[in-house]
Amino acid sequence: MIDFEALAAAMGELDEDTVKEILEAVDSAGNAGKAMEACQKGMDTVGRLFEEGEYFVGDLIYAGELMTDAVEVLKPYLAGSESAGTKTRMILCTVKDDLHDIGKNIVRSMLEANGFEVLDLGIDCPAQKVVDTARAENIKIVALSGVLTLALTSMKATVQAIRDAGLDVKVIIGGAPVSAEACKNIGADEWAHSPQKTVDTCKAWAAEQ
Amino acid sequence: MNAKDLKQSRVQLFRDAANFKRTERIPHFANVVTWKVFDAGYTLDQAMTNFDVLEDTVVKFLERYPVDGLMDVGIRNQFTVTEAFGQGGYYYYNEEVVGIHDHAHCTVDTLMDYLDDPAKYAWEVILPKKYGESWDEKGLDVWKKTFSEYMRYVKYILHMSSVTGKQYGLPSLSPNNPMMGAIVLGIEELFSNLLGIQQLSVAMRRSPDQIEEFINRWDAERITPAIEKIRNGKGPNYKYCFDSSILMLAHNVMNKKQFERFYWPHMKELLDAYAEKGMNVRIFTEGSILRFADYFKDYPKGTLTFHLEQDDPFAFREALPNVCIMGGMTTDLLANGTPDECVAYAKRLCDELGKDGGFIFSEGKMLSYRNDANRDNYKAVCDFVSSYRL
Repeated sequence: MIDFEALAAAMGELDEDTVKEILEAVDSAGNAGKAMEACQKGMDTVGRLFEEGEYFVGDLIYAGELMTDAVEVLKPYLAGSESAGTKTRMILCTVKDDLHDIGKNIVRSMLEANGFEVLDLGIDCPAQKVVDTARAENIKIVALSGVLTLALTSMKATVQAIRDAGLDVKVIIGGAPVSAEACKNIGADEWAHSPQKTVDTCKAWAAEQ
Repeated sequence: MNAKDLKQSRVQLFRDAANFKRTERIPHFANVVTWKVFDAGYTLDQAMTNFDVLEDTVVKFLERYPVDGLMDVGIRNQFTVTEAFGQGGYYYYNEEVVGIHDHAHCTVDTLMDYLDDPAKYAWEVILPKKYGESWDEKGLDVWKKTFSEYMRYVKYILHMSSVTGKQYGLPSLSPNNPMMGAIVLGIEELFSNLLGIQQLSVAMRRSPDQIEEFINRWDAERITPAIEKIRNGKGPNYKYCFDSSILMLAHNVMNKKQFERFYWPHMKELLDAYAEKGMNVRIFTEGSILRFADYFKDYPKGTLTFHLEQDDPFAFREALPNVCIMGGMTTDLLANGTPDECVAYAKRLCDELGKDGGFIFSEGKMLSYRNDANRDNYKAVCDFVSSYRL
């Protein structure tokens, strides 16, 4: 008997040993699906504790590792099962001329834990690649990440390219240099310093689709 | 006023502001790094490997903008030394961009090997990892070439120190610490060099005892002797604006419990020593420090100056009225505002934060890239701050 509540609590408390121990008992698509839901619930707790100031960036990095490990354990059972479900697909990247990936990866793991299928276009991503992928994959949500102030210029160019291409896409920008003023100047729909705000915003946009 | 007197008067101006003395005007410490390369009409790849170009960028900046101090006089982000050493994937740069990849020289399990003999570890582990098996054959030649470039670099540093000090009256911010080098706490060394952001974040959760053991030994071998020298020394050094500069980066990944365990005890011991001797310390923080404000609230005025990057300076003043603020000017405004808007905000900063001392005007984020500031905006701000009388 797998205690999914305990799994959710252990993930929320970043208790790696307990998470691993419980996941070892998973042996079917049915309980793998429930285990995935429990892990996602635990990640919600991580996001809440981050918002409340108990956790910080390093904890999110660690939580991302735990979630990635959990997905690796559960993946063989979930492949092709109903639990895999239909996910909202979205694009995430670090913009052109910026090679930072830690913030982007934190956001990716939290988005994935919240049910998004993230097309991670990597770092130093040209505006045209975002446009081409959004068009080819019929993507409606794009998240642009950056750490350098230089990223603001690239974010603006990327948003402009999306608008010029006539794509019906919502764009959120995130990372150290973004702000309300920068968001307005860049022409993005929303901005965030916090990964949880990014998740909440994308969930709201996905619900509108 | 000749350059020598101007330099000393600026040292006094910085010290008075840091000590919450009312000053005639607010000092301006220009947090400008590579933006001045573009402003001087060059691209980054032209400047990063050419000392003549670098010097020209500094001279043009100082001729154009009336500032009291400058973060970088062309000695940061230059690549002749690192390229001689085989730059690899560590630094990258082109016409417009310069940056550093997150990197790690150790794993948690090799940290003590590094501490046992850093030079041996570098020669036998770090460098072979970079160069592969051929390191043993070419190591000495690479080292000789690097050392030769390093000496050229040192010569340039001394030359620029002379140019900025003797021609422009620009003071040095702070001396090297008593251990002849930057003060780097163990946790910062882990963050910036030995483990990197990713590994350290995971290790603080997965292997906290090993992290603590490393930090305790690092600080016992490097920080404790420095504290002894501070305590046995003469106190403030009035040739410099500050008695010490400390860099805070690693707090950006830590929660409060981790900060209390891995950071604060070591930082506190150091700051207490400076406070006991009546010395002043400039702490350069990247990211936000406001959530740790409580730890710094008991230091007397005149001990601490925080150079803020992302924190709202007005909220910071409210939280820590005992701490001098360096910073305040936003790149958003410098890049996208008008000269009038920039000057109005600069005036607000000076009036609200500096009327009773305790404020040094500076840019929050380092001005690094072409669009970090509009030239007209920056000029207007510099002219205003240098001429504004409280």
